[in-house]
Amino acid sequence: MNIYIIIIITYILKFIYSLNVGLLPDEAYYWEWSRHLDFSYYDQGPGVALYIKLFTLIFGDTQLALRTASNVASLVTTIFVFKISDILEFSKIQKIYLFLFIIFIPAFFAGGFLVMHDSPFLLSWSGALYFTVKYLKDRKNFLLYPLFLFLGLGALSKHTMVFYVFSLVIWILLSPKEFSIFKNFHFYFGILITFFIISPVLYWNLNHNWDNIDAIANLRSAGSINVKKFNTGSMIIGQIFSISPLFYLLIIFIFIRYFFTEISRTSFIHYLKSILYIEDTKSIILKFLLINSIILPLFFLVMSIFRVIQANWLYASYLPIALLLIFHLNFKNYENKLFLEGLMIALILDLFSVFSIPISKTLNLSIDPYYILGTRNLGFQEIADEVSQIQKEKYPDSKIITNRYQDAAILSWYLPEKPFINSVNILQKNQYNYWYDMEYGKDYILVYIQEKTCAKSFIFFQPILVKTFEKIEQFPEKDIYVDGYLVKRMQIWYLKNYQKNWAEDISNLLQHQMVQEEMVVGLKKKKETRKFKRDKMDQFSGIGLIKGYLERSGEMECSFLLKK
Amino acid sequence: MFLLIKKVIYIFIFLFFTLIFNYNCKRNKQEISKISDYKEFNIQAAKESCSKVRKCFGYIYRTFPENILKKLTIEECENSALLNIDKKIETHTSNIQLLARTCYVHILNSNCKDLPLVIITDPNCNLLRAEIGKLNIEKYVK
Repeated sequence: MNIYIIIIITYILKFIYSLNVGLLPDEAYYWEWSRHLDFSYYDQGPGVALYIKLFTLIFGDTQLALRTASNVASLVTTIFVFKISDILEFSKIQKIYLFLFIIFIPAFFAGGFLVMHDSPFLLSWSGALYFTVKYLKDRKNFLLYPLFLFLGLGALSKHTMVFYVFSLVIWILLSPKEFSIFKNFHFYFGILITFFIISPVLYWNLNHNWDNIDAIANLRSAGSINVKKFNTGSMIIGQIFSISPLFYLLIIFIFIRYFFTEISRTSFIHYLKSILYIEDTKSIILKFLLINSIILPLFFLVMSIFRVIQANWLYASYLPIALLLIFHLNFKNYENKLFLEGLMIALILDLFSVFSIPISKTLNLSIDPYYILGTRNLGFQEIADEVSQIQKEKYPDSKIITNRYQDAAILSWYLPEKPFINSVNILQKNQYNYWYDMEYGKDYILVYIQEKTCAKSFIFFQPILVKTFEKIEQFPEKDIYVDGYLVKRMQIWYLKNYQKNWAEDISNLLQHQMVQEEMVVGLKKKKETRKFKRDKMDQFSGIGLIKGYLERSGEMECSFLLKK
Repeated sequence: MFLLIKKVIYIFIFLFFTLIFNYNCKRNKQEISKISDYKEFNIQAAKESCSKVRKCFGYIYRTFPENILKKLTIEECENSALLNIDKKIETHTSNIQLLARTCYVHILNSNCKDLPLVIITDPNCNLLRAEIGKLNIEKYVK
C-alpha cells in the first residue's frame, strides 16, 4: 500500500480519537486569540490565531474545529517530511521506519492532538524544509518563493522560526559555491515576501513598545518561569521523554558514529574542507539537514545553563533529525534492534498518554492524579457549570473573572454561549493585559482553578483584592472529582464594587513608600511609628495570607509521582 | 611563536575589559559616598534609589497596566522623594547624617536579590530609623 494512504488513514483514526480529547487551557487561550484577531499578540505573532480562525469559520467554535485544525497541521507536516524522503530516495523499509518514528514519538503522537502555536509552526518549518530541499535538488528559482512564504508563515506563528533562517545562513556560509544566490534577484524578492508577511508583527510591536521582546525576555511561553539556574538536566530529560529514551540514545549514537567514520577516512582538516566543497546533490541536502537539525538543540542546550527550556521548543528539529536518523540507520546490525526497542518504549509512552486513566485503574497505580495525563483536561466543564449556577442563582448582575489567563480562557470555552471572561492578571503579563479593562462600580465573581491538585493553592492575590473592592466574600475551596479522581480544585470569591486598579497600591508601595520610607530613610515623609505600620501590614496581608494557605487542601510540595 | 603572541594579546584584551568593568562598578559605588554636601548626597541617594527600585522590581513593573505604568516615571519618583527636602533634613543631627550615609550606600550597593534583606537587617539603617523615630517623637512631644 502507498505510504501516503497509510499516513492519511492513520490521521483519520487519530482525528476520530481526538474528538474526545478535551481542550487544555493553553489551547483555549489560543482559541481566544482567534476570537480577537490582531496584527500580533503579546506572546507570539498572529499565526496560530489565524490558523484556528480558518477552522472556526467553517466549523464554528467547536471541538470539531479545533481538533480538525490540530490534525490537519500534523498531517501536512508529515506529508512534507515524506516528500523530502522521496527526494532522498528512501527505500520502502526506510519509509516505514520514518513513518513509525514520525507518528509514534510521544512529542508528535500526543502533541499532535493539540492545537497550539506549535501546530502551524511545525507545519511551516516542514514546508520550508521541503522547499529548501526541493530547491537544492532542482535549482528552480520559483521554489524560492514558497520557501520564503513558509519562513514568513512560521515566523507569524513562533519567533523560533528565526533559527531556520540562521540554519540557512550557516549553510550558505559553509558552502562557498552557494554564494551565487546573492546574485539571484528571486532570492531578494523572496526576502521581501517574508518581510511583507511578518510586517503585521513589526507594526504591532511598534505600537506596543516592542512587547514581544518583553515576552521573550520573560519567557512567557514557559509560563514566565524565568528561573535563572542550571536547567540542562531537566531539558535533556524533557527531550528523552519527547522522543523516547532509546531513540534519543540512537540519535546520539548515530551522530557520533557518522562523525567518527567521516573523520577517520581522512584528516579533520580535510574533512572540514570536504564539507565546504561538496558537489553531490544528496550530500548538499544532507549537509543542510544536519545544520537544520542541530541549530535548535545546540542553542537551547547553551540557554538551558541559565534558563528554563520547555521540551516543545526543540520539536521542529525532530523533523530533520527523523530524516537523518533513518537515512543513516544501519538496518543490519544492533542499530536496527535499538530502533525497534526504542519504538516499543515510544508505543508504551503513547499508550499511557492515550489510555492513562484505564491503565492506572487496571494496574491500580498509586500515582497522584495530576501525573495521570488523561486527567489534565478533565473537570473544567464541572467547574464552569458550578460557576454558572452560582452566578445565575446568587449574583445575576455580576461578571465572571479569573486571575490566570488559563482559567479565563478555559472558562470562556466551557461556559454556556462561550462568553469572553476577563483575567485580572495581578502581577502577570499576557495577552489579557491588552484586552478590556474591568468596570468600576461593577460586582464580579472571581474563579481560581488549581490544576496541580496535589499541591496547596497559593492565593497570593486575596490581600490585593481586599484593597481593590469594597467588600469580598470568600467561598470554601472545593474539590472536583471526575471518574473517582480528584482532577481539579476550585475557589470562588464574590467581589463587590470594583473601586480601583490592583496596580495602584503596589506601584505606590514601590515607587513612593519604598523609596521614601525604606531606602532613603532620612527622607521619610510620614510620621507614623513602625508598630502602627506593622499592624496595618498584618491586617492587610501577612497573617491572613499564611492562615489561608495553611488551611487549604494539598501538600506543601507535590511528592513526585507516588501518592503518600 | 605566533600562537604565543596571539595568546598574550587575548589575555591583554581580557584584562583590559575586566579592568574597565571593574572601574565602572567601583565608580558608581564611590560617587555617592564621595559627595560631601549632605543635601546633595540625599538628592543623589533618592535618585539612585528610584533607579534601583525600577531595576530590581522591573519584573513587577512590567505587569502593571499601561495607563498606570505611564505615570510611573523615574522623574516622578525622584520629584516625589525630593519634595520639601530642605524641611526634611534640617533636623538631621551629625549622628543621623553619618548613619544615613552608611545606610544608603549599603542599600544602593546591594544587589537586587539581597535588597529587601539589606533594607530590613542592615544595622546602620535600623539605628537610623531609631534616631529618626526619636526625632519625630520629640517633635510630637514639643
